[in-house]
Amino acid sequence: MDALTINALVAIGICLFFLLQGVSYYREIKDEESFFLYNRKLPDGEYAVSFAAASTSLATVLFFFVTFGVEHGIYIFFAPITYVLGCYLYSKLLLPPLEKQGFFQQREISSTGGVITLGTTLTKYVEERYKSNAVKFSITLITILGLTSILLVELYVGVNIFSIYLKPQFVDLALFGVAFVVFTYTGLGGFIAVVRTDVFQLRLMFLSAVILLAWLVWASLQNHIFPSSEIFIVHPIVFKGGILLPYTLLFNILVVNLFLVPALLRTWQMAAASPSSKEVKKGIIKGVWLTALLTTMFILLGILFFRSVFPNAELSLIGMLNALHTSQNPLARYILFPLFFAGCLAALLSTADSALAPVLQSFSQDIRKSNARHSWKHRHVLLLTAILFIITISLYFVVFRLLGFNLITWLFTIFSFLIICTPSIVFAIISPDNVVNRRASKITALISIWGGFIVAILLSIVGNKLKIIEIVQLNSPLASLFGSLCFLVLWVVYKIKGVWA
Amino acid sequence: MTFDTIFVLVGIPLFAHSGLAFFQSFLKGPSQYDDLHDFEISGLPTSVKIQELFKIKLSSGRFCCKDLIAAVLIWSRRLRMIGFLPLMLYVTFIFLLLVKGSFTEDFNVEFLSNILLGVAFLLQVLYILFKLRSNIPQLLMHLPKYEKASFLLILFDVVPLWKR
Repeated sequence: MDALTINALVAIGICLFFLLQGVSYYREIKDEESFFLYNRKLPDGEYAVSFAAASTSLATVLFFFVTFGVEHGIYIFFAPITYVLGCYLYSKLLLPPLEKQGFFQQREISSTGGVITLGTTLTKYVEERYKSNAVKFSITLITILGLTSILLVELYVGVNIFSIYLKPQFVDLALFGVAFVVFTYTGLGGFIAVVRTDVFQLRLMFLSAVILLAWLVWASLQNHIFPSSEIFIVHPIVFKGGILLPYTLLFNILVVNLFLVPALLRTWQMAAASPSSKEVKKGIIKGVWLTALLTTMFILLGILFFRSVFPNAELSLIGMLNALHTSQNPLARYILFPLFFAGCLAALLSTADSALAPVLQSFSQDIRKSNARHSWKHRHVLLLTAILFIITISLYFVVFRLLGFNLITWLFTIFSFLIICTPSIVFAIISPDNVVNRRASKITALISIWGGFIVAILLSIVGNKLKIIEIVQLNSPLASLFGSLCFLVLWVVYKIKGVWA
Repeated sequence: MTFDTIFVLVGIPLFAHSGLAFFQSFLKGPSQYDDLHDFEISGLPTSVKIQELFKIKLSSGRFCCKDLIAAVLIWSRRLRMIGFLPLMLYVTFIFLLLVKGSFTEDFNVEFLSNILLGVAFLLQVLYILFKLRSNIPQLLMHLPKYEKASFLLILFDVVPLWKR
């Protein structure tokens, strides 16, 4: 049996395993709470693992950071460090007010007799605080757009790893298989399936990263390259056009990592699924360290792979897989190749399901507006999943095949979409009750969101047209700066008028 | 007309039927499918956990190959649908046959599909043997619809598998 067939069997086995594992939680789904919110009993351990698995995406960690790691050496560690900082700020500054506002408690609504909770989705929270449908729908629309794009990019990069099997004109075939697996188990098993499969997916990622890294270190030592620091430090700390990293990339990573966590629907879903803010705090801190550790391992792995062991390999994920499977070393061909492929698949599935679950929740609970719990039907969600499956596949063909978007440009654009909502969300959390629902606050929120959106889109289009990536990289810092400035001005006005005590 | 073509032509309606029946059995909630699991494996009630099975068997010093298979079955029953696994393998197999021309020349599709079919076949036989020990008419009466379809499919499969 050749290496490719072994790998194909491993890949099919893994897809089947996760499909069956995920679908098996179907019987645990009793109502809306169990489907979307894990019965609000998500322990901090599973929170951490799920957070890490979802954050370790194929597109960012295994594609983006690995290639940037080769270009900028160890300075790209700036990314995991700032991500840790972003999560730390979220848990220190935003979780305490959320708890005070009752996000983790259920509240009775007497008029209908049903129970409605503040802590279900980001949209419900924003609606409750701003008391404005316009702000609510703006944030819902943009965050759903952002998460759907993450799902798309993940599928796009994931589908490309199958090009070792398929002729170039048929590569898109893999999309149906991978999307089918993710949509089926998420639609049937809900958030429980997403979290529980993440546990195995993270183990698989760690296993593949550790073993491949160990082998690369060994192989580098064989090549007598490892002791040299040149492969890790490619340029001085301060250089023309940047410190550590080029300025635009530096600011992009800094802003995205500091602003991203509160704007992700997933963060809110996981927080609502947790029994208390303590669990969230513990979970997110453990989770972000796990993420940082995995990201660091993959960056090191990329540097050693491309600069030491396989210097002639094409600088991409598919280049890595090709180099492994055509290697003369049987260990690389028969063990490391399937193992790394398995790790890639696990990263793909874990990020894709974690992007899909909150989108499903948002569509089902925010857009359909089914508040009374007894009217919830699983088959409605299944139908919604099927519709989303069709939409995602259609969007994939429109964005990547018809419009021919460049992946890196699209990646930078997605993150700028997500973080333009952060200033409005942070303002809703930290401002006093009498301030947040004032007319001026609502208008500022709308200006900051849509103004930021226009800034981000314009920079992306201009950068893409002129083929200058630096312009695209500026979209997140400038869009979030615009939003933050809007709220800063509002805060000053409120202070002067004495509204904000 | 090759065996592959016949297989695909006959297989697709069967898959469609079994797939629909499978999801129907899911959507209906607890059904006859659940009752099927109230049988005993290796003299132990099925509710026993895998760790307990190993503990009892190891402490009594009676551990044989049958127990190992029972353990595997209990583990896979935790996934609640070992019967679904062969079905999924068949789906993958059919998919491979349909899109054979789109694969690169380096990749041996024939070989992989034979392995998949073989594994699916073995799993189904194992499952059926352990589920209702032998009585075929009784077996066909008790099996959920989707399993009946995939059972028919294996009988039909043996020919192309052997032919290859």
